[in-house]
Amino acid sequence: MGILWRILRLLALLGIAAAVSLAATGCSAGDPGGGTTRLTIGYVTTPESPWGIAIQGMADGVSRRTHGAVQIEPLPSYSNANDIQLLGDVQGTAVDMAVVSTAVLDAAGQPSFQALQMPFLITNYAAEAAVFASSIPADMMRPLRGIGLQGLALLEGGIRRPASNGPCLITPQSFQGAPFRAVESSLLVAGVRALGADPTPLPLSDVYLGLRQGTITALEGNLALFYTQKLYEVMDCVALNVNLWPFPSVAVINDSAMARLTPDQRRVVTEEAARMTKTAFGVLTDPKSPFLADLCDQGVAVGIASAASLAQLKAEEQSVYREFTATEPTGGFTKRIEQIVKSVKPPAPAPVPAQCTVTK
Amino acid sequence: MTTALRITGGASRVVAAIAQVVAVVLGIAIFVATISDVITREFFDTSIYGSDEFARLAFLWLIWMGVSLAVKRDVVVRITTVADRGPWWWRNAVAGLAHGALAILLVYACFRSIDYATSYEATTWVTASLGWPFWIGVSSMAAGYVFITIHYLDRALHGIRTAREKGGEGIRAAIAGTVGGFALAAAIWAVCFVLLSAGVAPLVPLAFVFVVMTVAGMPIVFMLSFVGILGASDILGLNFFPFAAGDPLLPFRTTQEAMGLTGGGEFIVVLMFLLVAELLNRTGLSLHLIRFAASLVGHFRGGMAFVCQVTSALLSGVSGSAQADAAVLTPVLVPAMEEEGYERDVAAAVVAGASIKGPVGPISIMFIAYGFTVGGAAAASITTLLLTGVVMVLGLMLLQAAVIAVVVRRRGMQAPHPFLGWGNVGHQAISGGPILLIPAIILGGIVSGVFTPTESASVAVAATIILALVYRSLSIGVLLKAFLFAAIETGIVMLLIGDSAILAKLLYIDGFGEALQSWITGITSSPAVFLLVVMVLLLLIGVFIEPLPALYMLAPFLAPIAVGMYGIDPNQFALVLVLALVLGLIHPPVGLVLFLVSSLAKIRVERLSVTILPWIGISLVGLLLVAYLPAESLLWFAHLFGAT
Repeated sequence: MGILWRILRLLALLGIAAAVSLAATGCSAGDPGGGTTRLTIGYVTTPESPWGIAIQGMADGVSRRTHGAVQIEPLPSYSNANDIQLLGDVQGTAVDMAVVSTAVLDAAGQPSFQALQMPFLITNYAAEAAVFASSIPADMMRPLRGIGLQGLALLEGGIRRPASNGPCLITPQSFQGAPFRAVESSLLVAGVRALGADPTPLPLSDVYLGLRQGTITALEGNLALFYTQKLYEVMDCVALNVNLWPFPSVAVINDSAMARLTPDQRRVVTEEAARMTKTAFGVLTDPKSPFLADLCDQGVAVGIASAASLAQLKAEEQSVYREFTATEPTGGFTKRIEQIVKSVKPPAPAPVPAQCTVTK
Repeated sequence: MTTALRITGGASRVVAAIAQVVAVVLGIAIFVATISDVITREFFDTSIYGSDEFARLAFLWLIWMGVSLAVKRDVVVRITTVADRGPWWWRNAVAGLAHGALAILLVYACFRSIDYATSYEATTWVTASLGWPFWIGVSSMAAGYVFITIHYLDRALHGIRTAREKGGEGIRAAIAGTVGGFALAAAIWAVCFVLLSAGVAPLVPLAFVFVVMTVAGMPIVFMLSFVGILGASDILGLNFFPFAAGDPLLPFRTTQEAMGLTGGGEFIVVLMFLLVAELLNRTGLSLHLIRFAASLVGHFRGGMAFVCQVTSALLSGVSGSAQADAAVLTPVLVPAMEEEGYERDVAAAVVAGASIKGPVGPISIMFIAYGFTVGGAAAASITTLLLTGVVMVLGLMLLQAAVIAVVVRRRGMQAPHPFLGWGNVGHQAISGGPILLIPAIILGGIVSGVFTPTESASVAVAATIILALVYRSLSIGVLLKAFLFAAIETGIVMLLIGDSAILAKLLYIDGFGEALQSWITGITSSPAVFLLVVMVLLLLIGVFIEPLPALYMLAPFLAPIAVGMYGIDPNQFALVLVLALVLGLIHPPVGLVLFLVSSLAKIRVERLSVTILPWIGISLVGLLLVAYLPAESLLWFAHLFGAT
């Protein structure tokens, strides 16, 4: 009986202590910032990537314009670089905002973005910038409302080019039978297969080892990816003018996070998010961008395909074009993008840094 | 009561039979899918599209069926230090707490996992390669939790019947269990409430709950899910991570994703290496290995422990995983060392200590993950890390061998027999030679690029099956049993890994890494002190969090400070971080390898937590050497091959 009393006394004391502590902290343990709204934004790349730089710029801009009332906290390399997991978490509201690769969205029941990555459709940043400046992004992002998300902006991660840990992939023959890492997307897998390669869908985390061990001998990626993921340690060549498709992402915010903001704050967040598009393009088109020079410094050769080879590769992708444009909304969006692309004069290719070994 | 018992007993038997069939069939399917991919790629220049995705989804089902069977067979590990001691009312109160918490967890998990299986995400999303609906993988969790609940319900009803049969004594025990359990739960709640209200970091009360519930005897396999789900919930005024409270499916989604739903395919290696271990043991092939090793070094004092060291060093070039190494070594070498005169718990400690070479070896997933995670000026070279892994494995092997020499001397162990001559070695080599080729096949295959480490494990299974057929020691029954028991062991290991991802994600989103960064930089400006602080911190974190999620969580924050502010070599810091986290695998009270080895060796984890201490001690010496030796001397081997 005495022991029971002692336990009850202990529990009572703990209860009193809890009540006192709660009163002392004014029930404000969850709001240490005194009215500051903290929003998290997940993305799968590193802070040095174009997306990472653009996101940091947005976070700084929002903080500055709201006088610190809204703090956006970037969460890089989210969930082992897994876009699908990130999408689930932003939809579930564990994360407030996210920058998700559009490539994975068709598997999540959102096929609107497929047209952006049709093979050899958008092959330069000027054309892509024109597409992003049109009404197409808004139309593509609208269906996201149905799953509790609001699309804020599209931002490019870098045109994807074929790279290899063997001879440069600059002719149609060089692709034949090559075990080729493909992003886990039905469109991009079909794109790789059409080139004659053997598509091997692998998560990004397995690519380094796959190349190192020869399980795959090629992949498609952008210069920033090759550099920030240190793939230069296991690759020999990047085909610089074989611009297969872009690799955009969509910045989203969930309804729950939006509801926590005042109308003014919502406007600021929306405007700063829209600026990310420009920032990412700025990083990618910066003549001082170090990625290609750094890759060359690490011993990666630069392959340049002939005009005839490029035309042949493009012809090989026609079957993919036909297959995927046969359904909506991909077909309609593709037509609109084609019209914009035709109206943009492709810029002259950037000069290859002097230290690069060029293979033609 | 009798009718209820008949119903639950029947249901328990039926779902166990279903789980057995599903686990074995899927185990075989995963093996066939993985090995077929290697064959088609090598001989037909094409891979089987979607086979890896199929294997991952099948793996999810295998895990949950394995866990449910582990519960049915009562092979889940529990720490009963507190629950088994003290007066009767205390024991009943502690048991009431553990059983009550488990019951709440299972009821909630059943509800939420079914909720998840019928959610928009599960019913609308499709897998990337095969286009299969997500619910095919997601629903494995619901099935697993329902099966587990049925088994525990049957056991609970048996407990109630026993209490009724005991009459007054049983009723007193039940009352003490119920009232005492509630009182203890209220006390735990009060402590958490006070800590959270005082603004203490959520990790502190969660760690408190973890430790208390663990020593109260809650099954270890469910501890990380219990703490993870608690951390993500808003329950009775306890709101650990407010951002997660609005997403009740977060813990369930995170666990499934980490175990294979949208990634984590590399963990199939755990199943395959456990299968190799099961096959080697059940077919008696391991005896050939032991005989060969014994012929070579068995005449040394404590020779089998040295054999364990050499074997673990070789295995580190094969699996890259401490759990897989421990799974291979424990069933083979613990009995062998026991025969040689070691106590079982000491032998288990030798194996547990030796197995940490896997994740710091030449195909370490940890090193590769570090390379991906840390960019910019703090980036480490993956090649340098992998090559230096060879040096680290050899160094650890020598240090641990030195401990064995001391143990052997202190215990006064004698040489078991004189050297039987090189003729005997040759004879045993011929007899066991083909089995010794298994690691050679694996290493050769990986180095030559014929298959990946994940695939190498299936190749090892194929090689073991072929050899068992050659040695005429394999029957269908043995093969099926090997698949079944490998599935059960895989379920236990994988659920721990999957559930650890919940807490890792919560901490990551909560900005734990940044808080850590500002705290450390406020302490010192000395690189040596910084490294010491980091090592202590990583060891503490490694106790609670699995190394890989901890690496993802901490490396991006710590590496830039180490390199940018303290001028530490990026490669050296990577080695320190990985080794310190890996040591958590053998660190009491919750090191995963400790539990795996204790489960496989059938010894109490409390006992192993004591006998492992010398191995932790010598590994810490290794960690200090890695941290404080000049970078040049540490990285010389990698530099020899031109790595930077």
